[in-house]
Amino acid sequence: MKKILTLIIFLLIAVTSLLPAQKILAQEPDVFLTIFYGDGCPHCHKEQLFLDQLKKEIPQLKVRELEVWGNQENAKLMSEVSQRLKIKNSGVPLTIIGDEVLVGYLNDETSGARIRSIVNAHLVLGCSDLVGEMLSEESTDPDSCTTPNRPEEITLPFVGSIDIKNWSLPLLTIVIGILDGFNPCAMWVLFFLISLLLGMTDRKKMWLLGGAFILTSGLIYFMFLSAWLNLFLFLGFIIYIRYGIGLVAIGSGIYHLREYLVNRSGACKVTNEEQKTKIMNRIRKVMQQEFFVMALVGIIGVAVAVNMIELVCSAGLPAIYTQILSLADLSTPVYYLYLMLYILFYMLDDLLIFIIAMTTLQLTGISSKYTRYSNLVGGVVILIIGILLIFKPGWIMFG
Amino acid sequence: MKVINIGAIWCPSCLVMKHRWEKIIKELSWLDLKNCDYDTDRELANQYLVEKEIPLAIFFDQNGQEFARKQGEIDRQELLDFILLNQSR
Repeated sequence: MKKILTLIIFLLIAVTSLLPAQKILAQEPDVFLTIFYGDGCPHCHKEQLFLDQLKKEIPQLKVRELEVWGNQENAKLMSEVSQRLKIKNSGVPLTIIGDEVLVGYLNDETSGARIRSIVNAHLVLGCSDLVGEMLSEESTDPDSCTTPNRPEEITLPFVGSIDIKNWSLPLLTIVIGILDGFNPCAMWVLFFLISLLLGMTDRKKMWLLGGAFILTSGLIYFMFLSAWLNLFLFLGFIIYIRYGIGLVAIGSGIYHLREYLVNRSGACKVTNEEQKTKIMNRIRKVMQQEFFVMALVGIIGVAVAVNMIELVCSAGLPAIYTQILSLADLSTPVYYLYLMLYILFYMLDDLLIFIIAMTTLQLTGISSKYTRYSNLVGGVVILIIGILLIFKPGWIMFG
Repeated sequence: MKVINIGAIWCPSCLVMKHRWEKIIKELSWLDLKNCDYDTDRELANQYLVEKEIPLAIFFDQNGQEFARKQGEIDRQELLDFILLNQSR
């Protein structure tokens, strides 16, 4: 039964991880966009074509197209909207999304990308429809839709000015990746494997077998992260999922901070003895294979099995990270590049331990003080992320 | 004085402590140190493990009576001071 369940989970992950990472937005709230355009205006036409495409991608996007060159009423409305939003040079096309204003349209890559980004942000934030309310002569507060107003730059001593918008997501990826990498659930297998590898005489085989184990582990985790990412992109900006992941993040942050405070001595808990013994026996058996190819295939099999079992242990962090990643407006290859960056730092401690062991022929443990620091920094970051996911999601929408 | 150091190959802190104990034993050759691997010597380990947390060092006096326990990663100097302080036991 357990084996069947593991197989089903594996297949689900394999299938969802192979899906292209594209946003499918199918949930509330609606976002209203108004475009004031002129008949025969080429830039307006370009934007209208882009909006037609965007509407197909984002069903919640409701577009109101108002012609102003031939329609006096619409021209009057555009003038009123411009006054209300204090727009100085209001030519066409004029685009209003919540309280965001875009004058003109260059091309899909620049102006189009900006519109897409604002629409995505408003899907999360939920905004008022200023023009719609003016049309129905209802009073409205233009500030009711607050766009993210996080600082754009910070200045650090010796480093100078850093553009937060460009650096936040890579930094966050590195911090969560490292924190996840210190997860003791998966690391113990590597230690055990290295202890057996050190008993071998052929250095080349040692490197190959250990390398195959690490590479397979990284690959499985990459598939796991891809599955989470595609799930969040598929579900879109469902508010309850964001709240749920926010709560998971708060719980995870508290857990890591508790680990920092309570487990000062860095002691390892002896748990799942039966399962551990089973896995150890399996690895021993694989290592005793007479033919190298058999051992190599066996070790890849062990890596797949072990990582599937241990996935449950670290479900929190990948889910939190991929939820944040899914909120960012990125292209498909960039999503996967971020996942690769995460994996690189997730595997960093494993790689270090392996390389040191293979070159010195001694198994060295990483002092628990590094795990503690990682718990402290990571715990604080994850806790803040959890709070932001619930109360200020706009602050962690990157890209 | 006799010390039983319980650890496991899969526990990073145990590896750190094993290395520290190796250094200590070089300095204090009179110390009777027994390394116990949790996986290969489980019976002995379970005899002493109460909280199921390793690494664990158990200290015995000349009469074989347990008089102290130290769990987790302990600084080498702290261990040396502790052993020398209780050397006469």
